[in-house]
Amino acid sequence: MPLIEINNVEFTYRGSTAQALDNVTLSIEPGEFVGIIGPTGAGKSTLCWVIAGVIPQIILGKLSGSASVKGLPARTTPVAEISQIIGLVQQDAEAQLLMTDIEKEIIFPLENLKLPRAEIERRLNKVLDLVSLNHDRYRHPFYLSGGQKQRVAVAAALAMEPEVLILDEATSELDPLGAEEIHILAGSLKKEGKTIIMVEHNIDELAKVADRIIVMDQGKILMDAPTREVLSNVEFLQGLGIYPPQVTQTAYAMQKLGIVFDQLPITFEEGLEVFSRLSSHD
Amino acid sequence: MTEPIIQVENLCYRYATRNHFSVNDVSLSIQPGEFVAIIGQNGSGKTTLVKHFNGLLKPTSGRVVVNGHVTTEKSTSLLAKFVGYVFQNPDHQIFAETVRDEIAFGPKNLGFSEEKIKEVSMKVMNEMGLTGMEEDMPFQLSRGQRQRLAVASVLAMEPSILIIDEPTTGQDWKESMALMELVRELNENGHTCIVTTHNMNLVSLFARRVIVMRQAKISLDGPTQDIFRYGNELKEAWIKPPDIYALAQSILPGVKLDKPIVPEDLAAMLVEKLNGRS
Amino acid sequence: MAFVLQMLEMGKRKSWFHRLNPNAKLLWWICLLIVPILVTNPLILLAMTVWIWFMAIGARIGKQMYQFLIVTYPVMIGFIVITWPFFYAATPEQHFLFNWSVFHFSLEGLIYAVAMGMRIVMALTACTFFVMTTDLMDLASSLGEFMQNRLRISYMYPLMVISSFKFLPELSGDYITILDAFKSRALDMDSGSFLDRLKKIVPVAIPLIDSMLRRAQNIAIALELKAFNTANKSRTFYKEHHFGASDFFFVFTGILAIILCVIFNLFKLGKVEIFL
Repeated sequence: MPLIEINNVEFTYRGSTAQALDNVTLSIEPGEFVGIIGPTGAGKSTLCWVIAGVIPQIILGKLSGSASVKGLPARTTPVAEISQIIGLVQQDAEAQLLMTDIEKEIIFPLENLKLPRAEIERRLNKVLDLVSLNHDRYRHPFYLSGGQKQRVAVAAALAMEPEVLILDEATSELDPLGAEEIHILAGSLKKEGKTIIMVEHNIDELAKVADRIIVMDQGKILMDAPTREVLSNVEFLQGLGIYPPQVTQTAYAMQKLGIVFDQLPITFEEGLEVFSRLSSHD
Repeated sequence: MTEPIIQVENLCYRYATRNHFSVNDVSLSIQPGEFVAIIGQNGSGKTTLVKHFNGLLKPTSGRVVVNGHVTTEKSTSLLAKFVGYVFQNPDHQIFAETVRDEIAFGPKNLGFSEEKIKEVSMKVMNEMGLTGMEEDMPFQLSRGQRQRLAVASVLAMEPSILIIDEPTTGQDWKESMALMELVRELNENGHTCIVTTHNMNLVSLFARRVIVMRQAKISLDGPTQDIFRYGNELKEAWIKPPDIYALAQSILPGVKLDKPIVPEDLAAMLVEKLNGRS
Repeated sequence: MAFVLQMLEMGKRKSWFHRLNPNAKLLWWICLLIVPILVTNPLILLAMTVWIWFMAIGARIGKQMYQFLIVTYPVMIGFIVITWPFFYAATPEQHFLFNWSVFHFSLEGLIYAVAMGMRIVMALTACTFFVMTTDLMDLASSLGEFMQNRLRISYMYPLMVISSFKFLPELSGDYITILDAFKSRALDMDSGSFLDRLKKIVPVAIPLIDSMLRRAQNIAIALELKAFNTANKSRTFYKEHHFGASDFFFVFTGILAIILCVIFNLFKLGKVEIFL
């Protein structure tokens, strides 16, 4: 059974005339790493909010269609209940941290879940190790770097032991160092078999980890296919204003000049390998 | 040699809440008409440095001279006459009820005449793709439109120096490119443009000069293509040149890059090499 | 702003006092605030203040308390001691140092002013001691647990009050950035008449309020995503707060202070009037 099922969902924010989601249908199976890409305003964050139940329970608007999480309807199941299945980490780290130190931040949701103390302690230590912030557990978030703040946000979400982790542009406000910390974390979570949805502008990084990519624009899903298939569609992506990996663009341009590729490289390493092999083919 | 439009001499700055210097003995000069990108990770000092250029921060020690004025002797509101500073988050400055009022705010404060205000407003709305939106409410615009409005409001003051702090935060690639294209146009029209960012792709395509900051000091300073050669220094500053540079340098060792390259350029070079071989 | 943050961070230190149950410290604090209401004799108030200082040294926060109060005391005392005597009703029996139409400054007035100042000093010292030995988040959880389990009041109230301390640095950061953005558009906050300057605050206030509203909505969403239910009257409180012998003892010292004040008053020693 799919973990997440979205069928013909349409949504318009209250007070707005533009349709934020237009006939969106998709399903996510356990263990998948799904990337979502698209220009600003495509509806990516709106989709994440629908999955988490935030829309329509907290953010109002006209919603139609069905969204279910592990069989539970996202529209009516309390957000607090859905958050135990869906962990959502958003763009602005600051807005997600409510406590005066890291330990309290992670403990807070667990207290809300009414877990016994021993269990809270176990999960606390587990996630602090996972995001490598054990040494800093008593620091006030004010003193943390952007990357560290986001790692805390991820830790707090993971402490609830959700089945799916959604990273909604979690790296957009971070510098390269901070963004790398989050990408490394996503990679290691993938290795543990966690189901992850990652909305990301950095296609190069996404190409390394995503199994499948969904392309959105103006509320619609334009493409939903395995990573390589999506990223090889260079002109299509460029037309939307999305920058496919530079190696892919280079190979595509070479293809137009007559060079033949079995498949276009989508990571730097693949590119290096393919181009070197070509140049030594004499 | 012309007078530098910005001259920084042994600048040191320490925030009251920190024990260390955020800018430590930095000296540089920027000539009129340059297009400079100041790059470095958060905390390297780049934003602290550029906030001295319009007097928002005054040196703890050292001197900053902008357009002939020593910044310690002039308030920011005076320096605003020739230094425009666009902040990262447009929502930190938007307040007016109409786009027209928002754009007219700066010029009004500078004492422009009514006709002049009308003239510059029309011009910047054109440049920023906001024509016909005079009566719109800024808060109802999309994030990208608000960003353009913020830039327009600063441009309307007709500054000779334009500083843009992290123009790509929260923007997608298309919007970032459009903004940088505009900055390039302004630079070609004679504005001195300074951009702080950590997006290497944009830096490689637009900036002619790059200053790399690391731990409160300048680590590298030179033409864009030269800077990308310094692998170690860039790594220490957590800067990664765009993949095509690394690709080019690995597959075409010794290649001379004197202008920005895009994937099509690299493709052409590789194909040429392959055809040359066979 | 950073100093306020540092002060709040003091609550995380370790000492016998820090380890006390936050509710006990709260009760003690309330008792100590009653003292300056009961007693106005500056000598008694001074003695109590000195006693709190000794405790501060024992709690190892002496230096920080000094750094804070060395600035705050003079402001409080200075203002009162200088202005109050002018308002002290003039009667002929007083020893006047200065008397000219409506302006009078007598020795009695000065003594009275010192007493008023001392009340504030004592209260301020008790407050500072309390804040610097108590982790406010722990207070929220211990108070919250008590309120929820005994009084059936939702944890939301103490949580919101305390959580605002987390957001203080961000709010002030936003304010500074917004102010900078307006200065960069040639808004000169320092010139013009008082009315002009007041008008200039309007454009600055709008983005500030907007950012606060946005933040409020983000917090509301974050709370839900962290399974916080405002209607729910039950949740685990991780930190165990025991109310032990030391806590009872500490509260008793506060009650003792009140008892002493009552005794002083019974012996007619509690009020400043004995010096006049």
